[in-house]
Amino acid sequence: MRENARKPAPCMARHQTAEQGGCPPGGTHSASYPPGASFGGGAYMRRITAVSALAFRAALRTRTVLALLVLLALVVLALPHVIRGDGTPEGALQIRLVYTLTLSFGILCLVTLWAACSLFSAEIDSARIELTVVKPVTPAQLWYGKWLALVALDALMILLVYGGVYAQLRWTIHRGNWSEAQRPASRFVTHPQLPSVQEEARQVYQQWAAEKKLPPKLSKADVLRELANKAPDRYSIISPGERVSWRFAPRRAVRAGDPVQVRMRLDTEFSTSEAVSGRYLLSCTDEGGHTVETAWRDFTQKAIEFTVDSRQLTAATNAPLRNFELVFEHTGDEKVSSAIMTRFRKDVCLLTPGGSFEANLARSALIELGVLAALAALGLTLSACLSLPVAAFTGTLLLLLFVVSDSINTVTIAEERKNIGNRIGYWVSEYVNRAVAFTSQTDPIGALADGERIGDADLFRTMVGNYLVLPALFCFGGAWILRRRELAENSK
Amino acid sequence: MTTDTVIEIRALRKVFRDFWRRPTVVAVDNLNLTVHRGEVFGLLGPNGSGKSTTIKMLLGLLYPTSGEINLLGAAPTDTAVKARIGYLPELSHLHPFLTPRETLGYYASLFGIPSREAKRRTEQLLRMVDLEAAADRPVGMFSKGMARRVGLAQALINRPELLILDEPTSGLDPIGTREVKDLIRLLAKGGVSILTTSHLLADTEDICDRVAILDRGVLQSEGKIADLLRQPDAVRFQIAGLDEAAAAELRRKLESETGRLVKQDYPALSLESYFLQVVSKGRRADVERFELAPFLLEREEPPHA
Amino acid sequence: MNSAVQLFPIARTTWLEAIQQPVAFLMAFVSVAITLLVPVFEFHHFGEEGRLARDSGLSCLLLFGLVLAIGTAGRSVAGEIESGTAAAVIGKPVSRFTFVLAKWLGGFGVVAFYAVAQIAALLIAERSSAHFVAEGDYVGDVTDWWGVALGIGGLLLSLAIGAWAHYRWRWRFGVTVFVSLTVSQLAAAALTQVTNHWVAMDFRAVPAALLVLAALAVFSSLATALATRLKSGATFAFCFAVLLLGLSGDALFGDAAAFSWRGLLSGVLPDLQNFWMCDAIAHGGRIGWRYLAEATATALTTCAVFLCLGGWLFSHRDLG
Repeated sequence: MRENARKPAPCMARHQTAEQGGCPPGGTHSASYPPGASFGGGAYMRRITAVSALAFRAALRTRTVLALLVLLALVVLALPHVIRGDGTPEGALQIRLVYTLTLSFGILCLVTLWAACSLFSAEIDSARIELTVVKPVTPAQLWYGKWLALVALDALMILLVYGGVYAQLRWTIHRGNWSEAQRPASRFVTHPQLPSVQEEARQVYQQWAAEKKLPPKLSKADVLRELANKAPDRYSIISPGERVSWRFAPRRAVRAGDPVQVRMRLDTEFSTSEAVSGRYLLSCTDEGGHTVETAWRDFTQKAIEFTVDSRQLTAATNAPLRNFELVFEHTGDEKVSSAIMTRFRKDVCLLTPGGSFEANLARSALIELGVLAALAALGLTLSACLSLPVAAFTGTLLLLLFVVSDSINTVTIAEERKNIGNRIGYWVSEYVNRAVAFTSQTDPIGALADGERIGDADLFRTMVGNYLVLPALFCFGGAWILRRRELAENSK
Repeated sequence: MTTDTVIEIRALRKVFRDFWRRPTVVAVDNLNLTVHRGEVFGLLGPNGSGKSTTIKMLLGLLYPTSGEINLLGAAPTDTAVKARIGYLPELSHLHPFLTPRETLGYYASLFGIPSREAKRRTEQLLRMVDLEAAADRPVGMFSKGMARRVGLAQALINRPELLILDEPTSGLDPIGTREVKDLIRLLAKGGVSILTTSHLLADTEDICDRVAILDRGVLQSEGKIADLLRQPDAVRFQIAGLDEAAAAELRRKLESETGRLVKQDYPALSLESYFLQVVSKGRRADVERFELAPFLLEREEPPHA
Repeated sequence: MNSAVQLFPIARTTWLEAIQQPVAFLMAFVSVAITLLVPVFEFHHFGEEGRLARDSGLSCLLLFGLVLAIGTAGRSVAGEIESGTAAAVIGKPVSRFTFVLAKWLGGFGVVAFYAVAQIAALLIAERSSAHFVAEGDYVGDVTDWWGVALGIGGLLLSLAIGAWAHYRWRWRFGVTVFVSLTVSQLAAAALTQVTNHWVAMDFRAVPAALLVLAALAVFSSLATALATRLKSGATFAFCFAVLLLGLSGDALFGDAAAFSWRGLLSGVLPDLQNFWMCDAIAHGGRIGWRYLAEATATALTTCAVFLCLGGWLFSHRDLG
C-alpha cells in the first residue's frame, strides 16, 4: 500500500501535462489525457444502453412483471374458455382475436402508462437519481434509456400475448378441422371509387341550396364542415326495385385464379330486412371482362359476403384484373319489403388476397406496440415533472380523454354545439382528437378479425408517429424539464 | 481560476422559496471558497449549516440563487466536467436489486468506460473495499457500512480528479473509518483533490489539510487546521520513562525558572487507537489489507498529436 | 394500555397523512368536477338527464373512492412498513391488530370525508339537470343553471380558499382544498334549496350512495389487509380483480353447484350487485332503511373478516 503511494501520482501526471500545454485551464478532461470517461458515439450509446439495461433489470427483478405475466396468461388462456361463443368458427375467431387481444392491450396500456409514470418520479423521490445525474449522462440519454427499456418490455409482453393467441388459434383450427374459407386470412380491402368527402360535401350543399333545405343560422363553412365530418358515415338507402353501382380499382391487380370477395355490411333491423332479396352483378370492366351474377335471399345478416373466382370474370386466361364494377339490385317486393341501408364509403368493399394472416398478425403487433411506445413516452415525461401518484392520475385522465374524444366528435351535431357547455366540450375533444389522431387511426384488432390486411400506410404512419415523432417530442419536453428542475431532496 | 484551483466559489447564495416565490430559508449566504489541486478540504458545520446545499450546488443538483461556481474550470452542469468528478452522497442511494458488481458496471457504463476496462476496475475496487465475497449479493440486503463501501467504490470508478464526499465515514465501524481515512490520505497523495464534509471533528482533523466552518449558511472561519488549532502562547514537552518523583522535580524546576504554572499529565491513547489495537491483535492482516486499487495510480500517457 | 385509546391517535394521524397527499385532493376535486359538469355537457335531452347525473355521480364515487381507498391503504400500511415508520409505532406498546384496525379507520375516514362532498355534488347535479317542467305558460326542459353555478362556484371557491390559506398562513394547499371542498359542496347543496323552486331535491340517491360507501369500506379493509404483505401495485391489481369478479360474479358463477370450486368462489366473493342500487332508484323505487342497515351490517362483517386476516398477516411478518 505504501509502495503504491510512492508511485507517480496520476493526477500529478495530469497536472504536468496540463502545464505543458496539453490541457488548457478548465479544458475538458478528454482534451489532454485519456479520460476516465469517453464521449464518442459508442460511449453515447453505451450510456443509453446502460440506463436501459438497468430499468429492464429492475422491472424483471420486481414481482410486477411476474404479476403482469400471470394476468396476461389468464386473459390469453382462460378468457376464451370463460366466454361462450356462438359455436361457429367466426365466433371462435372473434373471441380469440378481438376479446383476448383487446383486453390484453388495455391492460398493457394502463400498466405501461403507470410504469412509465413511476420511472423518474420514484428515482427523484428516493434521491437515487442524484447518483446518476452527477455522472456524465444527459437528461435526454436518461429519458431514452428508460423509454427503450419500457418498449423492450412491452415488445416482450406483446410477443408473448400474440404468440399465445396464435398458438391457441392454430390449435383450435386443427381441432375444429376448419375449412380454408373459415380460416383467418389477410386480404386487401378496396373501397368504391367515390369523390372526396369535401367534394361530396360541396355537392350536397349545392343540392340543399337548390332545394332551399339549408339549415338556418349556420354559416356555409359550418355546413360544409359538418357534411364533410359526417360523409364517411353517410348511408345509401336502397329501396325495392332500385339499382346501385360502385366501381373499384384495387391497388394491386388481381391475378387469374385468385378469389375476389364482395362484402356489404347492412345497418337494417332484422324485422325490416327479413323480406328483402337482391342480386349482385360483379363485372370486370377491363377489356374482355365478364359479369357474374349472384342472387341473395337472406338479408337478416349484418354482413353479406360471397366469393367469385376471378377466372369467371375474364376471357383472358392469365391477364391480371384491374377494374371492377359491382351492381346491387333490390329485388324485394315493393309491398312487403322495405329499403336497406348501407354506409357506402365503409361498408361496401372488394376483398382480394393480400399476404398471410401471420404477417398481418405481426403488423397488428407492431401497431399496438407503437401505441404502447407513445404511452410510455407520455408517462415518462409526466414522471419527470410530477410525483408518481399525480403523474399516474394525470396520465390516466389524459388517456381517458384521448379515448372518448373520438366518440364525442363523431356523435355531436352542429345543432347541439350551440349550448356553451357543449361547445367547450366539443372544442376540447376536437383538438385532443386532432392531436392524437395519427397515433390511433387504425383498428388493427378489428382488421385482423375481419381478415383485412393492415395497410402499409397505416403501418408507416404508426412507425413514424409513435416510434419516432411522439417520443422525440416527449423526450425533448422531458429532458428540458429534467435540466431545469432541481433534483436534490431539500430543494423545496 | 488558475490550473492549481479545482473549486472556486464566489459570493454564492442559495435561497429556498415557497410556491409564491417568497424566501423561506437562506441556506447559503455570500460564500467564498477555493479548493486547490491535491488538497483535502473539509467543510464543517452543525446540522442545517448549508454544507449539503453547497455540495449539491457544486454537483449541479441545486441551482444557486446568485454567485458563481467554477468546478475544474467549467460550470457544474457541464457534462464533460462531471466525467472528472466522483461523488459519495451522505446516504448511499444505491439500486437495491443490483449487486455491487452490477452497480459498479452500471456506473462505469455511464462514464462510457469500455466494458473490459470497467470489469478490471470493478474487480480492483471490490477488492479494495473488501466486498469480493459479497460481490454478487443484492445491495438491498447490505448493512449500512457495506452499502457505504459500495458507494465509495462507485465514486472512484472513473478515477476522479476531484472527489466530493458527504459524510464519508458515517455508518462505518472504527476499522472501516480508519480504512476510509487512510484511503483519503492515499488518494490525496496521489494528487486527487478531495472535498469532504463531516460531523466527526476528529476524523476531519485526521485527514484534512484545510477546513471551512459554516454556520447558518455563512462562512465563519477558514484555513489550515494546524494554523486554526495552534495555541501560540503554550508549549508542550513529552518525555518517555520519567518516574513520578523525577517528573515532580522537573516541574518544580520549570516553574521556578519560568515563573509560570506548569501543567503535568500522563498522555493516554485515543479510544479509537485503543479499539484498533485491541481489535487488530488477531487480524493485523485485515487492517492492512485495505489498499488502493492499482488503476487509481496508473499513469496515463498523453495522446500523441 | 387500552387499545381503544391508542386507536384514535393512530387513525387520526393516518387520516391527516393521507389527506396531505396531493393525489387525495386531486381525486376528490376531479370526481366532484366531473359530477357537476354532467348537467353542463348533456348533449341530448331524452327525459332521463337526472338519472344520468345521478348514475355518473355514483360511478365516480365508486371508482374514485376505490382508488382513494386502495391508494391510502397502500401508502399508509405498505409505505410505512417499508419506510420503518410502522416499526417505530409497533416498537411502542401497540398491538399489531390495533395498528391494522387504526390504519383502516384512518383510510376509510378519508374516503368517507370525500364521499360527503361527492354525495352533495351528485344531489346538486341531479337536481340541476334538465327536468321537464310544466308551470304556468311554460312547458319544456329546464336546466337549473343557478344550481350548476353554485356547485361549480363552490368548487372554485375551495381552490381560492386553498390558495389564500397557503399564501397567508402557509397551510397545505391540498389539505385545505380537500376539506373546504366538502364544506363548500354541502353549502351549495343547501343553497340550491333556495334558488330552485320547481324541482325538489331527490334524496333517494343518498341511501344508494351510502351503499356504495359500504362497499368502499369493504375494499378499504381488503386493501389494508393486503397491504400488510403486498406493495401498492399488487394491492391495486388484487382489489380490481376482486371488483371485476364481484360485479360479474353472478354471471360467471351464478349457475355453479354449491359444492364445487366455482360455488366456493361465488360464496367467497363479495356480491357487489347488492351495493349497486342505481337501477332500483331509476325505476322509481326507494331503498328502504332496513335494507341499508342489513347491507351495512354485511359490509361491516366482511370488513371484520378482512381486518382479522390483515391482523394475522401482519402479526406474522418481520418489520425491519
